[in-house]
Amino acid sequence: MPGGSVWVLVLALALPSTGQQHLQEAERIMSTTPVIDGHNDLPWQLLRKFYNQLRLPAANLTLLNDTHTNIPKLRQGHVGGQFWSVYVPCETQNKDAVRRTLEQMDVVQRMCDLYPETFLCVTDSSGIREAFRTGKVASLIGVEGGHSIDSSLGVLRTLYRLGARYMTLTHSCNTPWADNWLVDTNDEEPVHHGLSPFGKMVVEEMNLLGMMVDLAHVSVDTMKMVLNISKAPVIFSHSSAYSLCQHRRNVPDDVLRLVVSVGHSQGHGGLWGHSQGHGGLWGVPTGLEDVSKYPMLVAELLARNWTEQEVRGALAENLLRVFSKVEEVSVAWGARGTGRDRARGPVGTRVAPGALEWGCMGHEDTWGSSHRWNIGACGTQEFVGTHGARGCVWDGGTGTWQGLRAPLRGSPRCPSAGEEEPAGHGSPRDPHRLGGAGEVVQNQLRLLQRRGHRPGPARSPGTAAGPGAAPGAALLAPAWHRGPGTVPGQRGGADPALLPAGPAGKINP
Amino acid sequence: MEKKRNMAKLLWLLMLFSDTVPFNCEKSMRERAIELMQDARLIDGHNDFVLQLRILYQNKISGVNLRELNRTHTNLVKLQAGYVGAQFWSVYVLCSAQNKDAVRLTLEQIDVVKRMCHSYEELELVMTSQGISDSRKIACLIGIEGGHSIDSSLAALRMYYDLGARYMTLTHTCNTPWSESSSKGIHNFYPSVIGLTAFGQEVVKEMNRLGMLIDLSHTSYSTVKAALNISKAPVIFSHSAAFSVCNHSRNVPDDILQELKKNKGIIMVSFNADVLACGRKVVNISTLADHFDHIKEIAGSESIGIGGDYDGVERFPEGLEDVSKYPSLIEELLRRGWNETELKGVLRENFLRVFREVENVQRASAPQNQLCQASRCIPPAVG
Repeated sequence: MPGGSVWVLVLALALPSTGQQHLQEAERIMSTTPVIDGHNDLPWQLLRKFYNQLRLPAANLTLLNDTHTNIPKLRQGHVGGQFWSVYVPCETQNKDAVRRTLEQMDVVQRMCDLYPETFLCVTDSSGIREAFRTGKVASLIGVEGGHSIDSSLGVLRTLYRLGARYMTLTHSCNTPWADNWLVDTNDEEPVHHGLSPFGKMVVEEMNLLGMMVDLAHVSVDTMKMVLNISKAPVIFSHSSAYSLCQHRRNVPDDVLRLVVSVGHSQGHGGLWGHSQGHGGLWGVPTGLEDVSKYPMLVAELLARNWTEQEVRGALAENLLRVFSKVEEVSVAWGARGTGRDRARGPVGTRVAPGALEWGCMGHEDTWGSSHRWNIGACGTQEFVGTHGARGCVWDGGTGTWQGLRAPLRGSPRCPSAGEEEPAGHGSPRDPHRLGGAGEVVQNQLRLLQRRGHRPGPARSPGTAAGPGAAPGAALLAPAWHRGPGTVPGQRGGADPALLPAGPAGKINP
Repeated sequence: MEKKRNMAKLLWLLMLFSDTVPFNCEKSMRERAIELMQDARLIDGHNDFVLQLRILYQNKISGVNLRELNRTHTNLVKLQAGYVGAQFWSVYVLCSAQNKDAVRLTLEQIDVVKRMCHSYEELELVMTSQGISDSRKIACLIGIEGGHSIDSSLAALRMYYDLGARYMTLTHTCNTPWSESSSKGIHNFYPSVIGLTAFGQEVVKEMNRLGMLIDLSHTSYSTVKAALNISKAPVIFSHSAAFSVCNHSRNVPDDILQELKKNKGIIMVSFNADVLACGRKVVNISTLADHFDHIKEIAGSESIGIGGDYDGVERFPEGLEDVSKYPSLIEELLRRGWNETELKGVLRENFLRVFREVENVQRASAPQNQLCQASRCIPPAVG
């Protein structure tokens, strides 16, 4: 008799499906516990697409439609907190990584300034809760890759003062003090088998400062070593489970157990929050195409019988717990105040005496192609004029900036493999190499230079004709024009060149 | 008759004595100088102690007693003896780091200043004019010396401001890709840059908008003219002297001094013997005071401050060998007839005026509805 099946059909149509129910449940939960996402590369996209010029009409974050992230999607996805990655490519290591990192941190701050009704830039767990209360997206900064600190604890501390609250110890390249995940593949040989002694100092300094240690992108040995020595809980800002998918970016079970056993987190399902690495990926799972789709993931977890408490943990509470604990550890170790302007802590074993002039930092070769995006050669200045200073010219034909200089690797100022470094010129990146004889002479040279005297013979590399000499000067400051609608006085201050199809002027010889 | 002769003898004796036993007048000059400075402690525009900490100790200061250090012109005890109330610490990095790791080095020097100022209770890091006025300690401020520190990046400039840098000297002894130095032939960077390029103008404008003082010491004549033209706020020379008195390229010619007066800016006079004395062998307090007198004549005493350049150069006038000796200069100026108002201006009031006006320009640049975040928002002026 068809009656029964008709009833079933009617019921099936009339009642919300289980899937629908879960989604509604997800939305309900997320309306009071929004998601804190551990990693989003929107700042990198802003660099690629707009050279960080946020006031270009095309860069309007409410309207942007070809990135995973924009403001409406964040709202739809119930994103209440976001760590914005201030990633700079590995190719900038030993070149202009530090400056580039500052530029990415600056773009995050300017995002908060330009969209104050959406973003609230904060630097601690209570700031995140405040943002939840006021319905804004708490915005924090995560440094992605130890190459951003250029082996300097002074720089690490300064990045903390500027608001960085986690650092991924490596990206996909070794630093002079830590190994990355590629050494677990056949692509690279391990160098440090985890951390060098200086690397351990970095972790210790991060504990003291209250900066979370992020182990995404590092090798398994690095993970284990950090878990052994860190006094504060650590995070993996964007990784997954190796046993489910044998990609070396993922975390093996034995490390996961270590994470639980040393109390870095508690409970089942509470190891990390969400992180989709949006904006930095080629492909994302079906159904999770952009940042508006978090509720779908939560619905799936609910369908798999995660409890509401576990879900809230995964959304935000676990991260907040870890972050608070990291802050506590910093305070307990005697940091003053909120730990922001610390006085103490090791300085590092580097800084060879007398070696005020450092070698091999030539970046007047433009940064060439990123291994991921083949982005082209030019710097990231807010003001197009400085592209000239970096040896870039606008190519109206392709509508891109083109570099004029030699490719990334092999600065003319730096010895390439096989060449000897000049004498008395200890590698600044080697924490074990301190200056020796010649220190006194070097110091005298410093003082002389300081007074404006011409330096003496041959001891001071870097005082030879600056590479920017004739060619640099020739490329200075192409003329530009202010487009309509530039508003002076906003934080993105000098944002005068609304890049149309090409630059408005020519390069002054 | 006899009375008159005795009277004459008495008068002669008094005249003799007054020349050879001057203790009454001189002592009170010294006392006056000290009383003045107790009341109006010095704001000094430029000191390179932090560079010395790098050279001598590789920035490892936790084991060093900065109170009694005797290898430098500066230590905390001497600063107190010199009645220094506020000090701009220069975070200079060598020109030869330009296009190399100047940014990293600058961040490290800023880190040293912060560590130093937090480790000693006599010191207190401040970032506003109000902070200087309110401080009962030695207020610490940060000055960047040389545009090469920003690596042609306005973002780096903004980050330095966030970290507390409150002035930037546009060049040191090397041209940047966007500004010209007064030093020629020391470095070979960007030799065809003249004055400020278009980007250099943007840097100046951004500094106005941020509320960072523009320091024109070390810059070329063209750069000074260009900056004075564009800047909406008063400018400073953190450590320079008078070109008419000694025609050294680091010094400021009279026409610029006149423009500075119109700009309501300040020249903080350097104590570097080489720029004061033009090769004369004897350089003493009087030599320095000559510069003060001249600048007062051209630009008025309200345009003058003090920027000793201690620990940045080697030769100082006799009597001014280290940072405890500032009162001797004030004494000399008193002797030359400077009054207390003028001297309080030189010691601090002129600089505070300039700094406040720079902060006003910053406030005026911010749109009404802009949320103030981090340290980039100066609260409305008090009073």
